[in-house]
Amino acid sequence: MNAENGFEVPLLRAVAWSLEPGILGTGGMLEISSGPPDASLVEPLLRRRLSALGKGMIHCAARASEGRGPLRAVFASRHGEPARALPMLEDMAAGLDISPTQFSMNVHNAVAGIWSIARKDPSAITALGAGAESFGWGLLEALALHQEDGGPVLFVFGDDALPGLLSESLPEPLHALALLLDGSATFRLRVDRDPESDAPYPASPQSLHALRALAGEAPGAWAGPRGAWTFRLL
Amino acid sequence: MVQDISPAEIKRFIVATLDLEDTKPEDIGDDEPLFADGLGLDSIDAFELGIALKKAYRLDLEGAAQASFAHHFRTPSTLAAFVTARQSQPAPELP
Repeated sequence: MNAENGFEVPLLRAVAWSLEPGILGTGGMLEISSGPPDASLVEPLLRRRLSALGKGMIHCAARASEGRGPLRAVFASRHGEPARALPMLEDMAAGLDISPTQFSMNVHNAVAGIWSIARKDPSAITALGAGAESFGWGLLEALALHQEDGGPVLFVFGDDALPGLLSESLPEPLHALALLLDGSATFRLRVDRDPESDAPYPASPQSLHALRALAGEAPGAWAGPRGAWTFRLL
Repeated sequence: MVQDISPAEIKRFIVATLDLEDTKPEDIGDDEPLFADGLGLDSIDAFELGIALKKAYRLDLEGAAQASFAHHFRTPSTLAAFVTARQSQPAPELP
């Protein structure tokens, strides 16, 4: 594989969360947890606006950034919060006013905004979605920010199952993760991409394959419509 | 046949509509300000509450001066009086 299509991410911490246990790997550098997420960093009046996905992302972000001051961050998600979008579309179709709360929390940077408010941290945050490859491209964005000055950058990712009307065959269990990129990192995640690959698509999200690599299991190999990705913990 | 809306009913509606996880309806005073220094609700909550009340009670807002909304939404008591005056269907079942 061409070296130009790969990059290495220096990782100081990796935290993952899923509602159901047993979805994520264990071991390696990965800290995992399951069950109700802990978003106590966010005060109750703000926290009530978060979905389980939002709370899971905050849960991981808070642990990965523990003890840190101001921190730039990239938040990525493939689907965002379609469980909010669908009822709004239904209300619009019925000629009703749409819920301002659902609307404000449905934007792709909503969780990033709550995170920034809760930490009183005005550092730059990017929120992005890049289809099935949202994890990989989000991580590259975080690496690019880190390489600007070598300082720490937090990468947060999360996705949830799609509601019935929008669901497709790809199962997407509710999960979130946060990675802290820093020059002092002891671990490096090697990411290689082969855009020419015609490997068959696996039936699970890219992020879960990367987590397997972070857990020290076999390299995570994943393929989608735009090529194949390999994640290896060095 | 519509009935008077009590402040207690409004408080239950507020807690249910705005997902106030850590607040019970009886914790809110009838004359406690809902916004800012009182209960701490914000402008998104005001919008949310207005739209939810309009939908649940079919409020007839024809001729209601928008400038007066800030007054009507001040406390559970003022809001109950406003909904009572403007409702055109009976109270909904709350979860």
